[in-house]
Amino acid sequence: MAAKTLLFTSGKGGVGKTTCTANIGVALAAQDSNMNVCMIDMDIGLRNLDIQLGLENRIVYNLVDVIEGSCKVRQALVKDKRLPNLALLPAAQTRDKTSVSPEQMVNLVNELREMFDLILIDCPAGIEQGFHNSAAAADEAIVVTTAEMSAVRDADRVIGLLEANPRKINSWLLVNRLRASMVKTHDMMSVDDVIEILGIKLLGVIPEDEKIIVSTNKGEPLSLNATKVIGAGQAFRNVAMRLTGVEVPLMDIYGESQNIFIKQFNKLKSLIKFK
Amino acid sequence: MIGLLGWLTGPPKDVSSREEAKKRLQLTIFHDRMEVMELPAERLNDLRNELMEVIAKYFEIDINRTECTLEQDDREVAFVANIPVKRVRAGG
Ligand SMILES: Nc1ncnc2c1ncn2[C@@H]1O[C@H](COP(=O)(O)OP(=O)(O)OP(=O)(O)O)[C@@H](O)[C@H]1O
Ligand SMILES: [Mg+2]
Repeated sequence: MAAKTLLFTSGKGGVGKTTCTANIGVALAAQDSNMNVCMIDMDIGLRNLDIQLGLENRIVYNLVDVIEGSCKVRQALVKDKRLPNLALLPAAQTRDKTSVSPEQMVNLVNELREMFDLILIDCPAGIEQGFHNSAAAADEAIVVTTAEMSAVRDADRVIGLLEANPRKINSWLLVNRLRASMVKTHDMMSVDDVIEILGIKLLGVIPEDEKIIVSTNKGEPLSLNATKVIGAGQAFRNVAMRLTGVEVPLMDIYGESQNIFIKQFNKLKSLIKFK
Repeated sequence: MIGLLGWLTGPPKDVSSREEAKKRLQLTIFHDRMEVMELPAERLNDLRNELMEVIAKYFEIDINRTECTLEQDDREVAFVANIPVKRVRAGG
């Protein structure tokens, strides 16, 4: 069966799309060595997924080279040495979003669907061409937001655009950078607040975690280190497990009723269908 | 006496910034969605016509004097319809 394609998107910039794509991709590949995972960096001109994964020095060709026919898709894929079942299709750095069309993306992703079990797309910020190119190839979307007003507002806009797509792309909510202590003192919206406002199903909650800076410095996604059972690394692994249909409760990071999540959870079936 | 009551109940409690954010956001998103759907212009008129059809089953109404608007205070948005009724239709 052809691979499913999940889009990490947000509307607003800087909320953690790339961080979430890298960490969840790594967690998925680490969780099951039989599952071949491909990540596509769609942030043409401002690529960063390579850095987050520590693969920046191994890039030879990029997505635009493949689309323009300068190389075969296999030549552009960068394999992760730590996880042989994980590959990155890097973005071009010296081009812009208009160098690719939605139709070209659909064709490229269809080719990748036959080579992998799962494809993750790291969407650029905004709702312009880069977003449309990314959405064209996506089966489901993971909408990343923080619990801040402008991020949630932009998330709502993106959810609306995905719904309005002729294929009615379904969105899952991933709340990033949650600060439990601020939610407790009522200085930050809670996950339940965000769910209520956006009205989509929750996939997971990632706490604010300064270790992310260190892990990016080293090019080693936090979720790679399975010995740490707290913090964002574990939250990313939990999301990866939920995506494959394993029921994992939320970590107690926001000190609130988890009823909403449990209700949602009954509806959360495996998003990824294996071959 | 007022002073004492004030002292007993403490200073007026600020609404938490979390609550404030949630309310402002709900309202903003409501307006964003309306703008995207172009509700004010065409959709609102469709809504008005459908509503009239339903109401006309029960009342004889003055179509020309009906008014439908969205009204907003700082807490919520309300759909307000003002429909003059000429008479109640005989129950069938
Ligand atoms: N859970 C977290 N805890 C702490 N810092 C985080 C967390 N998630 C992301 N960050 C930090 O936020 C910043 C932005 O993250 P990232 O680049 O992943 O966002 P993005 O949505 O991909 O941005 P862009 O829109 O520019 O593509 C980075 O510096 C990252 O280290
Ligand atoms: Mg990014």
